[in-house]
Amino acid sequence: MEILRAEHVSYSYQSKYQKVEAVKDVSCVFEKGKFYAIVGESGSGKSTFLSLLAGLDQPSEGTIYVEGEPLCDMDRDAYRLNRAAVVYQAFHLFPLLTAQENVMLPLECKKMRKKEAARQARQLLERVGLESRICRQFPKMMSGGEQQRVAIARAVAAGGEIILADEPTGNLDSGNEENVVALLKELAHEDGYTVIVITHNQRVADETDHVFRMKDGSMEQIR
Amino acid sequence: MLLFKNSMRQLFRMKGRAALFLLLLIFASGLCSIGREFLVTNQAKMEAYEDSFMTIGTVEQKADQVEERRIWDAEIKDYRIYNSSVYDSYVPLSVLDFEGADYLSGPERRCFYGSYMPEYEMYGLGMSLSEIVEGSPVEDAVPDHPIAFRVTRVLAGQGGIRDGHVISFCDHYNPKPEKLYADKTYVMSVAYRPGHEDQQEFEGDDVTEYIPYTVLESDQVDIDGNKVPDDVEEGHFCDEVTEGFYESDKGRRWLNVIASWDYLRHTFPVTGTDDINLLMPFYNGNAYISQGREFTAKEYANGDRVCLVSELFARRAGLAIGDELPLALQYANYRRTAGRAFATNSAAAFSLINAKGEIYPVFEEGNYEIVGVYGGQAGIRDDYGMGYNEIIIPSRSVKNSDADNILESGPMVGSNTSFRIANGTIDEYMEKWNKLQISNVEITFYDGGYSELEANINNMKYIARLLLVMGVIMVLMVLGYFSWLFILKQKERTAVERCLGFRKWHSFVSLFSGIFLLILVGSVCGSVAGSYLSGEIEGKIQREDYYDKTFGNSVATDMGKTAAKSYEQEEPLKTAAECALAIVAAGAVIAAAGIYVNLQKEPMKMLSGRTE
Repeated sequence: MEILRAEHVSYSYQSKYQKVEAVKDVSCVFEKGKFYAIVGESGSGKSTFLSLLAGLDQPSEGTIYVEGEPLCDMDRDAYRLNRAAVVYQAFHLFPLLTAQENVMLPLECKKMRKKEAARQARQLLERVGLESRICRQFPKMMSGGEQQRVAIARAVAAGGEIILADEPTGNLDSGNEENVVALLKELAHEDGYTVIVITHNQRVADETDHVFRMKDGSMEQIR
Repeated sequence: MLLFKNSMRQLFRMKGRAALFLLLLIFASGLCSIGREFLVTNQAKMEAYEDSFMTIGTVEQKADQVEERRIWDAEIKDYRIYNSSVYDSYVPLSVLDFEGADYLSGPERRCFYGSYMPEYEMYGLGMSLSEIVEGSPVEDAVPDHPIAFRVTRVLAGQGGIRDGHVISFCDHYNPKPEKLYADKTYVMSVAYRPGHEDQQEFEGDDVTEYIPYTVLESDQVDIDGNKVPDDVEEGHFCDEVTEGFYESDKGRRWLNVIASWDYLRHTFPVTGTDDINLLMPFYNGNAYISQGREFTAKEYANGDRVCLVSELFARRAGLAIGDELPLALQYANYRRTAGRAFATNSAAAFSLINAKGEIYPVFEEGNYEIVGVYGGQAGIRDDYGMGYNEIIIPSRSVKNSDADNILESGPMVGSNTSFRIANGTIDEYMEKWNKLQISNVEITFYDGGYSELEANINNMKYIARLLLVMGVIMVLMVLGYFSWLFILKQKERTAVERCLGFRKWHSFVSLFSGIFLLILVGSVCGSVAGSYLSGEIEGKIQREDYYDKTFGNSVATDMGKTAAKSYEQEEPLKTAAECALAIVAAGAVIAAAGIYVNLQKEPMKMLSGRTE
């Protein structure tokens, strides 16, 4: 079932010296419960496309639809708060909040009571395979893999259906990489999330259901 | 609330930085507050002093030369030498009217007028013990020593000599006195003024020595100070009384002089001024308005017929505010002040006869409304004091010229010429005055110690400005540095929040609320502490020395007390609040600007670290 669709999406911006066409006429469809990879070299426009999918930017041309509704017509802040969450290569946890507080933040933003948010945060952290002792730890006390799991738990807590991950395993060792990929795969296949990851890593791409390649702003589906 | 809590939670997890920020901000705010408080307090002091102090200048013409005067002394049979000042000409008041002289009032060259008011009497005025008598020497004699002189008739006097008295008479200061004959009758004016230490005793009468008192000759001068020619030779005090003498010109003059004796009892000194503060007794507080009011600016300008009278005169004459005094100005005296001429222990020692031998005619008359009564010391024979029963009027209320009624003239001196300038402008004034290079006029300023206080206050203001500038710079540096630390360095946090679905204003509040609270607490604590400290410091350096080195301390102390009273009414917490408000506003603007910069960054670009 289609959840996200890009139709002839282009994005360009004016750099200091020239006009840069970061995304060129990209059309693609993302379905619920599927695990996608977007691969490509650095500067090919992957992250820009992801930010367009996250509603952080608007396409210069074309439209992105969320379950048939144009994203540009939607409240994009609410879209990110309720439907799509982003996970980063560098985790980007709030360093001054504990793991549990990091996960609680989007829940509390949704006006969830503190106690309930704490309970759900603990469940989510457990769900991503973290021990309960991690709950009270600050990010700097955790390993990279643990931090990325917390970031995924926060994304799950924030987004309702879509997880957009920008190089989620880029800073992880192979063991943690496998675990995180397995977790994302599980979230897609078992929990019905649409997971879209940007990666350079072929091993990660191999684990996904579909793979898109971006080159010089254009996209083609290779699997 | 959630955003605020989250903001505070994250901020307080940077305990060290937050505490350092708070402490530095408290210190910087304290500096600002102390600086501002000092500035405001000293400014308020200055304004209070401005209202309480006044600067007046008095003008004195220096003598062109000092001349030796030789006066015969019958006792030592030789001349006594005295020095007297000689003026080639009197410098006119207009010399003070030069470019850049910015007077608040004056300059004025005051005279005092004699106002004949037969309805009122000069009770208690110390009349000169002079008498006009008729009589003959007991025997022919040259009065180059005390001789016995029998008074047959007292024509005018105060009761010191009675008819039939034998007095001791000596033409004490005349080296060649004329012989007096026992078979002739003389009219003469004499004054009790013992010249010889050994008093004589004649026919058992216990009398003291009388000397000639020259009242027959007029002192009248013209407007330029030149003596109006008079038929009577200088020093003339005595005439032989023959039949029909009093019908002659000289006899009539004697009769006029005799009549003028009565005028002395009913003549009141009147001084016109443009500002009563130019009169030294009012300036230094020896005279003050005790009832009613001073003249208004309009009354001064229009020359309205209003007057101030002394408490004593008002009480004795049964006068009150609103009553009218019928002033009739007869003469103007430009040499002496009323304070010198009208004293309780001395009388006006000048002739009321003009060069024509007549009593000065009234040149200005009108009813003056009493608007105020003044108290204080008067009639102590002091150039700088108030004359006994002196009446003050606006100078412009005298419309008619006194040119033909000038009784005496003299140079500008401190007691009769003064002006008022703005406080703190003495140096500026003197710089312009010195450029005129007028060497025979000396100006003395009285400012009640204002210049000294102004210098001290300017020093304090300089320190205050220094503290304020240091405080402001430090506040800006602290706010700038910590905004960078708490906001600009937190741009990643803003980006993550935005990616999590925070709206821009959510992210704004999330960062802003915490730092704003710190700024608020820091600035309020610092400002209040600074205000308290400045109050303490101010209290310690509270000066007591209002001493006016130029004049005296009475005026300065009064001015200082008044000033101190008024500036103490300032509210220090108001200044602290203003200071805190300014810092909070600056902090809010800096923080908001930082957050604005953060929000301009594209979140994904920042978080993914991509370079395109």
